[in-house]
Amino acid sequence: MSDSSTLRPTESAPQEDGAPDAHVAPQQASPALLEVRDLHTHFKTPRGILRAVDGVSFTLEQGATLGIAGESGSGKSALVRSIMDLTAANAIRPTGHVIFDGRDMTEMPRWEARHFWGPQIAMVFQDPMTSLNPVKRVGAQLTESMRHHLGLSRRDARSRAIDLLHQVRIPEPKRRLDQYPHELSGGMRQRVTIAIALACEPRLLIADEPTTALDVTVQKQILELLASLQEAHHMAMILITHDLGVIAGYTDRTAVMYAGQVVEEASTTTLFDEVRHPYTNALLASIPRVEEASHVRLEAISGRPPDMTAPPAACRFAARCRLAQDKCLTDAPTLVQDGSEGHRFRCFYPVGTGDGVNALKKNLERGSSAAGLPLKSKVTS
Amino acid sequence: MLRSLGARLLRLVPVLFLVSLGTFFLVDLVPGDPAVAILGSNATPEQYEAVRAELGLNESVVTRYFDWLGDTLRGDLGESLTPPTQSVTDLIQSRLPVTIQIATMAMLISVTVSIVLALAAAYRPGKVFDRVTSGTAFAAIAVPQFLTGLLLIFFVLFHTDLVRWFVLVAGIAGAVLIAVRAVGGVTDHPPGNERVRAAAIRAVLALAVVGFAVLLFARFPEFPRQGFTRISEDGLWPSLRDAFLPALTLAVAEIAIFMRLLRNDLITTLQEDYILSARAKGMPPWRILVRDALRPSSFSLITVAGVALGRLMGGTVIVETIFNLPGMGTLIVNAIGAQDVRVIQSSVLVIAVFYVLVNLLVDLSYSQLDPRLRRGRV
Repeated sequence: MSDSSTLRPTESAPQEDGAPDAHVAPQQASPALLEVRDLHTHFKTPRGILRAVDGVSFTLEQGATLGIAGESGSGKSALVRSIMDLTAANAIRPTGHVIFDGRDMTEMPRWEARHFWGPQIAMVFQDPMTSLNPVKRVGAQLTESMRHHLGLSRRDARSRAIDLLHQVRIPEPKRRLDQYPHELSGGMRQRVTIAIALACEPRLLIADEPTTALDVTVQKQILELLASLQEAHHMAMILITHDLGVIAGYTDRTAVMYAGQVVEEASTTTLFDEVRHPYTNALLASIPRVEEASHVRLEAISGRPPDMTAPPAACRFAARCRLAQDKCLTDAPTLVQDGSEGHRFRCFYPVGTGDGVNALKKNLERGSSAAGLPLKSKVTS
Repeated sequence: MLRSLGARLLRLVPVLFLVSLGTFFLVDLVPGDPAVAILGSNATPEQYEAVRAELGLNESVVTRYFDWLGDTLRGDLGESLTPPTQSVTDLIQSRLPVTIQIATMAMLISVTVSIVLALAAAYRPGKVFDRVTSGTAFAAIAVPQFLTGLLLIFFVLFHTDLVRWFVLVAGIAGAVLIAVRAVGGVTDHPPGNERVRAAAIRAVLALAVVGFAVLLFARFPEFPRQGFTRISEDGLWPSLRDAFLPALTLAVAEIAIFMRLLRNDLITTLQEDYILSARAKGMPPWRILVRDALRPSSFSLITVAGVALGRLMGGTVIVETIFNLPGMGTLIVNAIGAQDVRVIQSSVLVIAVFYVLVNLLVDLSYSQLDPRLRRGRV
């Protein structure tokens, strides 16, 4: 759509080198674009250290889409914000490694890392009402990163900004540049934030619940837009959402987070076909279904997530799990790999296996899980 | 923009009408007979009657008001009631420019200095610079104005060499600090384009600081102990020099207040999501502070600065007395002492009009700062 390829003369160079990746990810055949290794993000709070992200690892290939799902407070946003070093002031500097294109971002000085934010990794935030500066014109917010990172002249940046607004399908792009955010609708503003994120042609786009604050009718448009732009620009994307429906439609791989940890990760089709973790299973069961009669009680996950200032040493989901056994209350399960490609989950009694079925049967017989969660006899899994 | 300005000006008319009513009836609120205040208690009844007739006190209230209003609008504020009799218009015309100049200078100094300090403090809240400036600010607020003025006179006028050397040493120390950080910035990390540029900026900054300090050391201005040169007499520079110490005295407390205010607002603004998106764009922290956070944070500063400017326009008796300046403050205090109702009335009117105009400016700057307020019809 544009002459965007000419804007990034340096862009192809690091990819062709290839060599620097070797010592970082020797086990990988094709170098991953992003590798997160054992990332911990902790916050200082009055109640103690809050472990928002507690040992997360994943890899993302070039051009692929990773969905991260989980309920509020599961650490999804904290995870991506620590990838981009955007954590709040009370955050303790994250430990672990964020390796982008062979470079370890966590060992980089801030001023150097800043050159990655925009031209390499960009982010679309949840609420377009608050993520645009209310006192700056759309044009200024759109062009500043191009002028800063790519050194474009005012005029070039402006014409490219018009082109970007075209790409995100905003009518009358020229006029929009001189408008303020409050003069645009919510969907329009989110399109503007997407245009801002695309301004420097990033190789990875992180979308942090990009549709949560929007009207349902606009949600689909924005997701479709993101998907088509991703393809057009060959970007990788991390899509954070609490809506498994969105995950199913728009991602290649999915990681489900619970209490600061990844509890299950697989390719999206595998995840939906062969659910292993009881939490993922419960999330799927809680989606209302059109084919069910109306006024059917939704399958809610009872209880609340653990207090992350003092997470249980055992399985973090045990207190809310229908399958929980004594072992779940004493030992912490690790993320284990299952037979099918790259399917990992953190459970002793995975759903859909003999162990899981037996565990549920046992709990149903005694009427409660090992953690004391009362069970009705209705079988869901 | 022009339309809203017109609308706002139109809205001033009823306000100014109320102001004129208020100041006009001030005369009637004064206890006792104005004629007695003018002539003393030993005059004959005929003399009192003559003065009353001259003041128009025998006319109906309405006639008196409109006569007075007409004169006032023509710029004729009448004669002062107590000797030496002189035109009130001339009196105010000689005092007002002094007050306006000092108030404006004090405001410019305090707003500029406080913005720079607040930005630097908000850059790393809770760190050394923030703590030191916050502590100093509280101390400055606590020091009474007459003491600030006397301390300034004591050091700047009577221990000038001390101040000159202090300026020189402080300037060089500051430049060295800046230079050390610039060198550290280059050698700590592999040379990058941005680092070199930052170092160059710091070097220029350091040179500027040293240059300014040396210039000030070599050609330290001779501030007068008291008195004042008008711009119309000797030109701009001597006038600015003479007004500097009084303006600085007034500015000290204001700087402290403005700085605290802006610093806190900046820190609140820095929590906003759009600051996060600016960081996600890879913008350097200083740029974010100045270009994204400053404008939305300046509302309380503007409001308080507007009120302070209005207050200073009313004259500042203490500073005018210490520096022996012919300003509005001493005029009003003397008029009150002499029970010269007409001078009080006119001064109050002039000051009230200034207050209203300053408020208009503040209002206009709100909509200038925040586009969301531009179309709103309140």
